[in-house]
Amino acid sequence: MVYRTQKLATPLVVVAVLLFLVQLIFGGILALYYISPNILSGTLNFNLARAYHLNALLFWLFSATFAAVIYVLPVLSGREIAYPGILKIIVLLLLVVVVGGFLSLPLMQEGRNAWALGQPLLYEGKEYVELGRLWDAILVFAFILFALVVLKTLPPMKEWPLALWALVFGAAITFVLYIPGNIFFKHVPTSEYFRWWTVHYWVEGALEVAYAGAFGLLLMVLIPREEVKRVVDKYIFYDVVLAATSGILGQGHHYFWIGTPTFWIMIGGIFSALEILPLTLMAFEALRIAKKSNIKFENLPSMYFMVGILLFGLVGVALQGLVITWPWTNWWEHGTWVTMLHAHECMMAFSMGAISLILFAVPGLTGKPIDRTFTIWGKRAFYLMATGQIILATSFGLAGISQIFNYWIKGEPWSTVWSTRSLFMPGVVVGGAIVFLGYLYYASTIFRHLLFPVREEPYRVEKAPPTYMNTLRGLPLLIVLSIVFSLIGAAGIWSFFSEQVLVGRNPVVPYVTTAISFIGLAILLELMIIKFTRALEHQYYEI
Amino acid sequence: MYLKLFVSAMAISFLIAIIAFVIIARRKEEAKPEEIPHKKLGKMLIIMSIAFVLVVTPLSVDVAEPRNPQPDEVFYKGYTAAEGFRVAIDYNCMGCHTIVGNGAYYAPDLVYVARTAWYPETIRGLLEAFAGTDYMPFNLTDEELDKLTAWMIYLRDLNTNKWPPMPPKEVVLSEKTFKETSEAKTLYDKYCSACHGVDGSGVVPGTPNFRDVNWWESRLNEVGWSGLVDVVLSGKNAMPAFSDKLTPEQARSILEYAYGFSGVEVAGAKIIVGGYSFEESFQENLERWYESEAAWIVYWLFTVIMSSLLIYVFFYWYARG
Repeated sequence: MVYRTQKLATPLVVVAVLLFLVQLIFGGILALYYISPNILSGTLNFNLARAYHLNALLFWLFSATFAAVIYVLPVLSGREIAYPGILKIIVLLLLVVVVGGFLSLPLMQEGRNAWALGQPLLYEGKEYVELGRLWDAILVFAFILFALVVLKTLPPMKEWPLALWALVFGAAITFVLYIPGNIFFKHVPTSEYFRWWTVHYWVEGALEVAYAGAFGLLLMVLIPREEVKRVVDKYIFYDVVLAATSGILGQGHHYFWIGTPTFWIMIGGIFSALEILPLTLMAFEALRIAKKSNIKFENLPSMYFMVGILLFGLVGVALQGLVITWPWTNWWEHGTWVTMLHAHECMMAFSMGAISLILFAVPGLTGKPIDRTFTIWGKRAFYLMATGQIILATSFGLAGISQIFNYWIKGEPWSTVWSTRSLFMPGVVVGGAIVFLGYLYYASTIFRHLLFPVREEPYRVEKAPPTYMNTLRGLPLLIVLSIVFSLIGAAGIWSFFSEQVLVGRNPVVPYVTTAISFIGLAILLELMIIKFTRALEHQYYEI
Repeated sequence: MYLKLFVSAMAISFLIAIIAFVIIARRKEEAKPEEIPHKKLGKMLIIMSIAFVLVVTPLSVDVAEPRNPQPDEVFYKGYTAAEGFRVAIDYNCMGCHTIVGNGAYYAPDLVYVARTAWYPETIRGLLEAFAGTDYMPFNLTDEELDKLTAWMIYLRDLNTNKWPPMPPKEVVLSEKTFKETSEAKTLYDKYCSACHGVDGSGVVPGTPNFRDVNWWESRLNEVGWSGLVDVVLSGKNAMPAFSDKLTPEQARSILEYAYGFSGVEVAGAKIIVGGYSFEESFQENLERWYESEAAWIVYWLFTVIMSSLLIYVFFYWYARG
């Protein structure tokens, strides 16, 4: 490690890894609720467990992002971080918000909240933004301090590469838009309208713009060649233009049915369908860069997770999004478990970005080498998490389809809807268990590096002849195939409008087509992940 | 109509983008490695989309011409829906239910529940039945139940563009179709009922029958709400002026309360709730200027221009990036 101030990232890394554990435990508790609804009722209500499940996720993503920025900042600017004292205060403030926010959430079981100036102070019952104003205020204060530190440390703006602009602006927009979503509005459409500013633009601003910038910078640091900078600059520019335009207007897909005007059904419908453009292009662009640069990566696990964000971004965010974003399909799937399929894969893309950053930073932070065990455990963590999440998310999607038919069309009582949906719970539980196993590998990798001496040999790639499974061969075809499968899924949900389903009460067509689509997409995603990661390992980049 | 607009916008923008790409981009020489073509166009696209969202925000949050019931104006036993939303926030209803489709999916959607139950008493009965059980393990007070009922009536009446899909159901309008506010009722009973009658039928000869919806329609066509407010404040014929006792807002709320009497005559009318076509909502919402046919032309043009430029940039990047 070259810079002293980089070390400040370590506590945040630890917090991020531990909060991930909290998230998974509460996810498991939520699954228990589907086995028996009175399992913890009264002591730890479902809504409280869910609030922890979501907020632990958000906080560990925040912590990981902060840690990554602290780690990369001195390298980028070629000097120590300005005001390390303030940085310590920021870390402390973050911890205060996590602890305070988490301790005040249980008050919701009694409905005991404190209100001032028309705002709830301790917690707020709005998903994703459950923090009360008190904690929000501290968090925003920490963000402002952090922005000051970052801007003070970075070289003058004129010298910034485009990737840095993207990173800083993506991050800044994410933090600024944190504010409107949190304010309490007494009008439900207004409240939901601004809540999506926060939640949707997190994904747009943070995932697509800031992560694109972060990974562009990573590439530049890893491969210090002039041509790489140019390729990255260009790709960042077009990616930001496409992602920002389609993302800002595609926001409208949240505004179809929440009491907002009809024109959003037009704007949101068309531009959110176009949201697949930047992500598909990113996948193609990654193939192109891989082919051109042809380099060997030291830190394989970090690169694996980077592939994860790319492919989960393509299939989970873009294509599963394309299945449900058309007004004719969204009308049916909105408010059902089909959304959970999309949400869980989206958040996995998000998380993989953060994990990739952490795995990238940890060897540098500890000054210990990247050895065999680090690589092998990291790889196992990746495969387990990816596979588990795909199984879990796909089960949610299939269950959601039965929910549409039983609830919206047959108008069955909730208990029937519940029991038909629960048929798919084993898939969720098995998937969740696999993700948890992956987490154990991931946490062990990190703590082993932080706490124990690392003296093993570096990982050596076994020689293998290029086959279909360890090259990028045929990958463009797989990408096109997955677009086709997502369109089949959209057609499947759309077919709920047919006479056969509405009048004849015969759900075979939508059931079969969506099953083909969801399972097909899951298999394609898994296949692409294996091919891409193994090609990376063996450096077989030919397409 | 909507299908046509949607498909035509998509098709035309793809067509424009392809033509533009073939004519402009194909002819140009290969870009130099350090140059980023269409830099200005890209920046413009981002600025335009931000500008659009900012411009339509006031329309979307019911500031311009409201399309939804307002939370302060929906009442149940003297409590407003706004107070009910606070209770919902305090107990984190969204952590189990979905509200307008957003939230957790553990329990049924509240708009769906409110529309299926429909009648305020039924809604309150549901809340009362579930509160304190393992499903809703909190002890709600009577006051909180009333507030939540008001809030669910408000959710029921939200203009959600016909979502959620539900089996069509016939309901009887038993209540007044117009808002009843406790303050307005108190003021009406204090200042107006002596002459106009507590039920609006008119005690003193010469006073209009507030229960007659035709009288209201003709008066509203003639002078509008502001004209009627003027009558209350400055008086007319035998009626004294109330400008020293009432503010214009209070006068307006009293008038709206009185208008509610005409709703007595529509009680017993039947309407169909639910169904499976969101496209009907385009017709039903045409009355507001920002959802009118003229406005739709603007949205359509905007969509075509923006998406054709976007697709053009996409092609350009793919072919020459």
